[in-house]
Amino acid sequence: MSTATPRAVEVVALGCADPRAPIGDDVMRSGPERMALRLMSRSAVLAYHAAREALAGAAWPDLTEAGLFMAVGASGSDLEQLRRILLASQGERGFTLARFGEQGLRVCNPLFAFQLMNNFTMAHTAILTGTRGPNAVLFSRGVGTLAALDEALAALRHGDCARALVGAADSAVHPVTALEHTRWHGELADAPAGEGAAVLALAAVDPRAGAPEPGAGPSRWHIASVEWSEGGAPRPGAPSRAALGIADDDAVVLHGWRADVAAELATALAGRAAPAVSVLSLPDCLAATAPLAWAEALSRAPATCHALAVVTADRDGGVGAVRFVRGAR
Amino acid sequence: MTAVITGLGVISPFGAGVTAFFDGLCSGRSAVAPITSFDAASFPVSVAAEVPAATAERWRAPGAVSDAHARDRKVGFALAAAHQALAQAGLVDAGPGPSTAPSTAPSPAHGLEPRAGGHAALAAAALSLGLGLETALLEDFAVLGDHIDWDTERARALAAHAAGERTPRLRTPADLAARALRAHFGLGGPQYLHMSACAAGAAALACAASLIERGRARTVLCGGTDSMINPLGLGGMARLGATSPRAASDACRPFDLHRDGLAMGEGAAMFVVEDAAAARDRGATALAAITGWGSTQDAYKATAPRPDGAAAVAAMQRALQRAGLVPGDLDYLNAHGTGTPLNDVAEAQAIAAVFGPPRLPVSSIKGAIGHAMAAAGALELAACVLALAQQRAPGTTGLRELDPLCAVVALPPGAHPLRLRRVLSNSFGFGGHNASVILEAA
Repeated sequence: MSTATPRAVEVVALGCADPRAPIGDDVMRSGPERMALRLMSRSAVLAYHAAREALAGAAWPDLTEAGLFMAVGASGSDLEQLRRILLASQGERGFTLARFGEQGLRVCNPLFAFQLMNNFTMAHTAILTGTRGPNAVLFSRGVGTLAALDEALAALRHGDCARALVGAADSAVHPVTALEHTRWHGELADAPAGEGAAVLALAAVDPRAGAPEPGAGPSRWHIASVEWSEGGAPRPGAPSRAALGIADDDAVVLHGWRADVAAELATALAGRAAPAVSVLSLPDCLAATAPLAWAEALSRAPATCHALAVVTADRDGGVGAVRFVRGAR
Repeated sequence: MTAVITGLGVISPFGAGVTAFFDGLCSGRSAVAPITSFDAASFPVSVAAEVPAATAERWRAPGAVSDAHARDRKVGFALAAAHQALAQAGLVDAGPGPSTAPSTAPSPAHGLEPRAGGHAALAAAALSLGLGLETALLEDFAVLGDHIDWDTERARALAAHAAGERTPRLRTPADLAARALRAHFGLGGPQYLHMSACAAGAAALACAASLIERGRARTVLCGGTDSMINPLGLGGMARLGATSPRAASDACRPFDLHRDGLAMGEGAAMFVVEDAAAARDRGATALAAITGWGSTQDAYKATAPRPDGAAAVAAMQRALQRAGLVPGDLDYLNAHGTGTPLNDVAEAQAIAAVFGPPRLPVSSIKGAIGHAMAAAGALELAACVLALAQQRAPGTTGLRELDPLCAVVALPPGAHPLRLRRVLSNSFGFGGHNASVILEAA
């Protein structure tokens, strides 16, 4: 599996569960997958929806060796199930552990665990699609998703797999998650909460092969670099443009920025030759925001654009950039 | 570049430190006992391998801003194990470790301000951490009543945030331990937070080795930390039927004919991983080299491992290939060995498929310390590091009568002197994540 020469990685196809379009519960109402629904959290459904779309575009004949690298968010289980458990655990003086052990657990559907566990946001996709290769499931609130892409690139470049799905699914509108974020951050007026998923189908390409035709759309984009800086303490200050891997003539797409981070980015991007800086108006879908932006930026990039840096900033103050280059291997 | 381990720290059901951990494993004793951290008398499972109360209390999350923070036991475990590892690597002072003094005032860093004076290398160090589920705080949920008005709760939380006040939490953030580690030790590099259930700890170590190998980081603090010995964690695993129904110290009996489920465990194992040449240049001692790793997915069922173990086979083969080894090169295998009827047979079949007729010594440490979930792989790799250092392998506590369907050379309880140069550790996670890691004597 190991190769002597690190291989380039190309974007073959995209799949999205877009937060700006209705994402109904009918996403998987047909086909054999409907039986899996009762085991799946909302994010798991979204992840599968996006992966299925990406795989349809990629049309890979065999997924046995394909990798799957996803970022996931907080546990997003069905709250009705939890409500039933808590109700059954109420004694005369309210909730007691004794009642929980005696009664609460009895009303708990054992399959609830598969909604509760964060990793099942990805695992259901593996089960339903049959990807059996290298994998990673990483926690993210935004910039952390770039770590999932970084892991996927490492596997593809090293030759651990020739094909891989990478992306994220998450929901910032799950009541517990929304409440948690309010506690940590207060209200964020510039980033309304949303939910969604996006998945890229990536393939390693032989560096000795010829360059593809330019301007052929997303399938001709290659991933040149992934760089990020974590938020929270200790944050070493604004990352420089060089630290983010942004070249002088890249078109730059920003999304998910907070006012303070935007100011830092403006400084970081100052003095570039290329003026093109676009701002995507995406809801904050936490882990899923970054791949939604990648998908959006790649889909909308004009044929004349040959290098594109998509910059992510998250609620924790993390900042990162993925640099896509068209046709360069 | 070759990744080597230069520091190791452990918090386990045998107590704090690597000596207590490995001596406990080699004693043949089980740390599984009646649960004391909460009243589990009415639960279907009432035993687990808990970190001793005195140890857990000693290492409660330092600077916890609320009782909720302190109730997430894995945070303190991670900090304490990390301090041991970093001290051994010479990257922090080998003092008493993280302070347990609680912070009383809210702060932008949520009470997790940097406290440890550390080596400059930590400013750029990466973090690769295997983490378990958020800890659900059921009592806090319960006080909200039968019908939770989420809009009202958000309004309250918003007002409290604006006033700088603390409010009850419903669950701890999944990455709380990572935040604590980064803040406490001043880690400024990228972080990779692995959530692949029981494979997360091993995945974290493999990721760290990969980061070193490809020059992404010069120093990585990595490992796993978890505790699901809490009402929802324990209850949920019991409802899944994964736990042994017996309230006995031998509740977990890996590869035994009469095994009937796992015992819950908890703890943390943390490692400092560096490039071998860089470690040598700064005078650090390499404890072991991480030379092979591989991961696959079962892609089979949510509720059971792939019965033929095919994906587990592929994970071990990938690890061997990456290390440039053949099966005969290995001297010992630390099995995932949960003690559940399905896992142990599938894993034994997978081991046989890779290594052929039973020859390779195999053991599982889960009979001794239970299943520490996201920390399990890290704890098992810690046992492998210590086995390489001491040239003895821990046996399989709880094993009395080998299941004929598990055709492996399962080491019985106790310590087993062996010539150990290369060892492999398996970790298989709920959801079908398989990870195999190979360590070699440095």
